Amino acid sequence: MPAIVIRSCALLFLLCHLVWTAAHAADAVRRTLELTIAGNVVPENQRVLRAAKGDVVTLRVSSDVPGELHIHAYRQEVKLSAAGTVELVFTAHASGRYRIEWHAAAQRRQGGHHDHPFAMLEVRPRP
Amino acid sequence: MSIRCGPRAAWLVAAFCTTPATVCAHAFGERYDLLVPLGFFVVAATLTVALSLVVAAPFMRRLASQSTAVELTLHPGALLTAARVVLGLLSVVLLCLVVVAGFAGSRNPEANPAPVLVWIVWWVGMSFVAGCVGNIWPACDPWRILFDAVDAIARRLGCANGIALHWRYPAALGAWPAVFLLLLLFVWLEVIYPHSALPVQVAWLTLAWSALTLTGMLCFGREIWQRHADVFHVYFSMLGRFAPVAAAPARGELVLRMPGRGLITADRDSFAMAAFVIAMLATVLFDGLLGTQGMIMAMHAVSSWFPVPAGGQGYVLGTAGLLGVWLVFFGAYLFACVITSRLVPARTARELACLFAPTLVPIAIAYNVAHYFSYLAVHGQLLIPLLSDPLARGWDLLGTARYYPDIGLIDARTTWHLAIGAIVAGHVVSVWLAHRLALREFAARAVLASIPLTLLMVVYTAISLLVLAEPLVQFTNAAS
Repeated sequence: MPAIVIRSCALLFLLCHLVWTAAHAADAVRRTLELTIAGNVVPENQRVLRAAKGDVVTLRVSSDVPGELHIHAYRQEVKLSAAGTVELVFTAHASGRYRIEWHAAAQRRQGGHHDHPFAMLEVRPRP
Repeated sequence: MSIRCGPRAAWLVAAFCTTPATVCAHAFGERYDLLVPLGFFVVAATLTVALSLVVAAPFMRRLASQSTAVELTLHPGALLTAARVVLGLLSVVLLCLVVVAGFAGSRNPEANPAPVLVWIVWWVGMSFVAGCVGNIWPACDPWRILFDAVDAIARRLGCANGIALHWRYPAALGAWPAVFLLLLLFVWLEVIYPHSALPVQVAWLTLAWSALTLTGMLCFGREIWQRHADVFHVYFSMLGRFAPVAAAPARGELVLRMPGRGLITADRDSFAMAAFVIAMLATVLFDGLLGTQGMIMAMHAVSSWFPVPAGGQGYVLGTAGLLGVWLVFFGAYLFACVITSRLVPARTARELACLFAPTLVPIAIAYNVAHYFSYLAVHGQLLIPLLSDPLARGWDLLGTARYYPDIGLIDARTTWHLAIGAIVAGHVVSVWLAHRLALREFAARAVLASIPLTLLMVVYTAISLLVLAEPLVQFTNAAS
């Protein structure tokens, strides 16, 4: 294949890629999600936290007892050493449903049971 | 269970403290899939019905009766021998690794190569390769290789008949042992969870299967044993009959053919094989069915009628559920065959059941792809760090010990398109194959003969779509 064809293909690809990234960079949304933990549970309406892929999520976690929060597979964790509020900021880079687990400091040694998820993070693909 | 890389023991906790109060929906590894949105489901269901009608249309019938087999013979020569040797050696090494790592490695299923190799790479991965590319299992089967090696040595040493005792295999048993082993395997995999993922259990299971299968080969001869009782051999060869690449009759040659061709060219299968194909379909669907609201409600209903001892509830119900799904599927299939035999009296229902069973294999393969593709792509990556540090000793043999699976590798939208595409395509291939078979067997009455089975296939396909899709009715209270 002549070099010119290869070169123009590469250029075209690069151009498309640039346009694509530019178009999608604009979509990135900052989103704040709340988890209000009281007595080691969250209210019904916070059981599923929804975000779209690419969102920069600020997860505000507040609790009346100290403990630790993990988001499975996302490798996000945040610790509350005392009752209060902390913020966890991350990019929702992968679509899917991920389990959020809470481990209260008082129950640390018991190991918690993962039969019923504490809450879920649901990241939908962008339309 | 979770894939976390945190320093603390939380994931060990996750792996060990789970007692299956309810039946867990998945064998090993938590899934991160989003259910297929309703819009996709509606489009797919409509396509399924529409395409079934198209296949049945007169012009397609003419095409089906005229189309000749297109086959291409490949001559890879020495390359094929080399591939066989490499695959064979690799799988014997991996078999040893499973046992050693199972006993000596990490106790966390996701930090140990034994469960990852067995349940993800081999069970899911090999099913994909066998169904979509070609059945490489006979070349990989470590038990076959070990048995043949010892047998060859014995012959070399002057034992003319080899090591097999060649007892007479009871003809009445047929392939039923394979059917029940497949169902049993799934009961273990799905219901005895999470113990089926514990590395030590995987190692014991591997040893137990090795002992059973080698004894079987020794008593009845390798081929007889494998054809009737070696569930993996039977399973992968059934999938391999769909695959586009197959071993040619001549040694050292491969055949490239239309996918699904192998399902209708072979000799008629036994009744036990028909039961086996239905078991394949039932078991691949069962995994998804378990998580659905309908199934959870059915289980609750059953448990309120038949109180079972506390603790054993999940096991009893799970086992009953799997057997129930298989029996219902098999019953529906036999019923369709009975109706067909009324429409075309030339054949008995039993003959029809044996004849048409393989045409259901594409639906099973399609569902396998739809349900497991993203799981294989994401969880399969667990093997990358584990190969560098198989025994959790802090080694870094290949420099990949710190690799963390990329959970964003496959976008949910890609998974949805693939899932729906695979199921619709699998359905069409199944209907087409059944149609071709009917044309060959019944000529003029082919359309009449394929109506009951086509309807049944639409039902099977609808069920597999329903399992993947978001529930039509949202239940506000999560089932507990």
